[in-house]
Amino acid sequence: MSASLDSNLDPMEEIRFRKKHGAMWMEIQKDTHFSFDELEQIMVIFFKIQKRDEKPAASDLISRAHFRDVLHTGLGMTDSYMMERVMVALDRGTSPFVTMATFAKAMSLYLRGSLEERISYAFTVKNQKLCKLTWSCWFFQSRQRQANDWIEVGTILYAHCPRLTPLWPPCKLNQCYDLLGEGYLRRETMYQCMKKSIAKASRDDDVEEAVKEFVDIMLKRMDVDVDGVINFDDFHTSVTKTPSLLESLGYCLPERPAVYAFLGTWCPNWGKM
Amino acid sequence: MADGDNVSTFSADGGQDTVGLPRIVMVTEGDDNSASSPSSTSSSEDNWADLIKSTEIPPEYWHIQKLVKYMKAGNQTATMVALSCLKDHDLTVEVNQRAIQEIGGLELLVNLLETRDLCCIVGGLAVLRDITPNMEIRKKVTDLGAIPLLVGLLSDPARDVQILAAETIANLGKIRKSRKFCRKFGGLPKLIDLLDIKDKYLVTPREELNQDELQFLDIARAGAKALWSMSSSQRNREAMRKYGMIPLIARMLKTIHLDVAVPAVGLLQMCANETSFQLAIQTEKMVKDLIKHLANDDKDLKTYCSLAIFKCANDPITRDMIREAGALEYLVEAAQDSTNRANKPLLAAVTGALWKCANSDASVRKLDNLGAVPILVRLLDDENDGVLTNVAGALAECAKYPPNRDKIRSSGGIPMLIHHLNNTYKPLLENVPLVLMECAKEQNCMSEIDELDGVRLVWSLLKNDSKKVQTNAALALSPCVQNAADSGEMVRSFVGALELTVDLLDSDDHNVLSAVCAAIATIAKDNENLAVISDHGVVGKLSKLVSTTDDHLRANLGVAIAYCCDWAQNRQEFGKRGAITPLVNYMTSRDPNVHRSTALALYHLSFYSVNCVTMHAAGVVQFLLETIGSKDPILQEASAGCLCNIRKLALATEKVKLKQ
Repeated sequence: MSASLDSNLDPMEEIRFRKKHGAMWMEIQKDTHFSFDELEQIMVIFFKIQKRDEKPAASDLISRAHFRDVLHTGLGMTDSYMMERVMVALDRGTSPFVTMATFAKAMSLYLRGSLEERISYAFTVKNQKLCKLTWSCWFFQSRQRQANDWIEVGTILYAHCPRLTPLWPPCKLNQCYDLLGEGYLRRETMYQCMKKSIAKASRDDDVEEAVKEFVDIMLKRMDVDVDGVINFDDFHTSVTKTPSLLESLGYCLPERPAVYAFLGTWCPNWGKM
Repeated sequence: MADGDNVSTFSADGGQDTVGLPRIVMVTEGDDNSASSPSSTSSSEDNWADLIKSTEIPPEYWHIQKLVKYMKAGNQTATMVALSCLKDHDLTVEVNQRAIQEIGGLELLVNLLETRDLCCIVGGLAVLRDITPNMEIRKKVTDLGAIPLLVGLLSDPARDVQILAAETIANLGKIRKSRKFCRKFGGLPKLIDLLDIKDKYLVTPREELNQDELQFLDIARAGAKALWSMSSSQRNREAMRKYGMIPLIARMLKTIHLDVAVPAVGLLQMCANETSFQLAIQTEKMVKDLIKHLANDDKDLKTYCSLAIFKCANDPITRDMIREAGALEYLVEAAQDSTNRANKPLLAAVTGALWKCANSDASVRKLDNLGAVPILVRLLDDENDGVLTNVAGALAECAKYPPNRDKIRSSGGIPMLIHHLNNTYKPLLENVPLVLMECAKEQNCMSEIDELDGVRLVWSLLKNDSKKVQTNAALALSPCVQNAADSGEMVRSFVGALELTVDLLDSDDHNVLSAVCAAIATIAKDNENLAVISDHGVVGKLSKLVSTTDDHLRANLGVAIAYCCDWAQNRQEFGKRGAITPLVNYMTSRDPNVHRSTALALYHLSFYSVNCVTMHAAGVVQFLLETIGSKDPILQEASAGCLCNIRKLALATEKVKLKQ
């Protein structure tokens, strides 16, 4: 085990932490773009966040609010509206805590994510139906942290929202953040996302009309199979051809300068921007 | 068909008179107020105002304008999407560029450069880079203050921003104002920094480089393009040199990648207008790399290499380096290649390089081995004046070597050269007489020139207002008059020629004067012509010139005076006009040519006794006693002859005194 990684921490405490969770990290590392040393650094950051939590629930959890704060100040993700959906997309779950695995996967995606990973992530961020019913179900679920309850919850949801695809089994609720299982982006979804993006430029401007037209343009641009909605394949094809469309419904990834600034604080090789 | 109409209607009432015959259809131009079509490149404001009223505007125009409106009213996300959609259109087409301009898109794009959002900056720059090749947009964007922003972005850590900013600056740099701003806002050192790239990346093929390293190449290429654009201003070139660009270019020339080499050599040849760069090409050993690129098949690269050679071959050491690197082979090959005939810039550059390189004996011999002379003569039928000038210059250098003169004649060069004497392009008129001057020294060529009335055409060039043309024409006259058959008659047959020649003695340019004096010296050898020019007052004009201190003029003046003496009262007149004493003063010069011609003049003048007295009083004897021992036979003879005449006079005086 290498020497103390962080000069702010008490070395004994730090080493104890690393030893305790070392095995789990070996597992986690396989899913990330980091080497083991880099992952250790990330986990030390996790540890420091945990230490500042007021009521730490367990030694491998940090509070969700705190995590959001870190994303806000450290990676410059400041859009609160989008952050709700980001949290859901990240750990698919509803618990008020963020695990180490989630943290590592999130960092891997943000700092070194490949285009494919980002496409999947962005699509799921966008593809969240903002139906009141589903939000209420989401809150309900967030209080039930045990897996058994998922099935019950799923059945209730299924009953309320008939548009759920039959292929989607309720027991897999916690794997899919596509809450209504639609698997595609409809006009309404996009309208909701873009509503805030266009301001009233002059007195006789009709913002609603403008946004509707804009959504039409986007749909035309990205709907490859011309079926009126953007499903995952459409999104995937469009973004692979034009990477700048990745965050077209809202900034859900950190900006490049922020990423490199963050990387530069702990990683010895961060390449050229 | 009314003027200014361009909407055509189709009317079929031309007549279907008889069944079975072909139907006659009249197509007339209907009336409509719209002016030029959307794809015209000469876009003035009225054209566009009219066009907007008509329905000929394609739908992309309105679509683009809508996208720009969204950008104005939207946040970063909306802007990003709108920019992506904008890039889908072909922004190099004028309609689309205009669409962006007219809705206020340029202000918006320039504003985007000031934001902190990286994606928007990259998107905005990409659009700007595509629309700035348009002249008007370039001006507008510069006026909006884009240059300081772009220069700031050159320091951005994101490398794709650097590349796009440099490429946009390259487009904007076609305007003088942009170049000035770039310099004032400190853009040049930043651009030069972009050229700093490891040798390794320059020489490794693209397949073996990883993504990062390829990007380094792109950065260097963008920097070179921008600097090339900037180098059109003389002050920028000076500044670039001061900021240490020379070693970096020298390194870049070693590249094997074509897309990096072209802007690098383009930049180098532009800077080679400055003598400091010409010297640098020599000292930084750039010649070998230049010639390596010259061998490349790419036509643009060849053109720029040839231009660089043309500009730096003035210096003899560089010239030798160029020859040793084997440039002449490639240049002759390019000149010979018939597919290059259509590519005038290439041909002009190649022939120009040949001209400047031929200015040495070794080069001329090498060119002979390569059979360059017939190739060059074949190019004499080209339409482009630049090409012709360079070809004539090259032939003039080659013709200094006697066997080439006949080669020119046998390839049929003389008629074409004489034909070009009718051209009005001054640089061409400077070079053609030089070729004829050398060729006239050879008998066969001279007779051909004579047959084709070449001498008269050369003589008429003396009327041209360019001093250089006058000089070179006069220089060509001497061998022509000397070697022509029955030259006295020939000269007299040119109406007004002699008067013209004598009148040129009033010129204030020393080169013109020297050349004219040399011509007069040759003309005066024929007695009748001497009579004519004496009538025109040549003695007075020559005497006015004696006070000159220019050695080159002195040398020719002396010979002219010498041969002008042998007619009527000319000798006495020279004496009366006080030409003698200054002539004696010429002997103090160090130039042996001056000594020779002065001695000749004094010899011919000394046949008149009063002149001898003047000479003697001026103290000529001491000089002559020295020059008598010289190795130059003409000088020796003339000095001896002069002293002889003085002595004879002295003896005769003695005798008279004794008799009394």
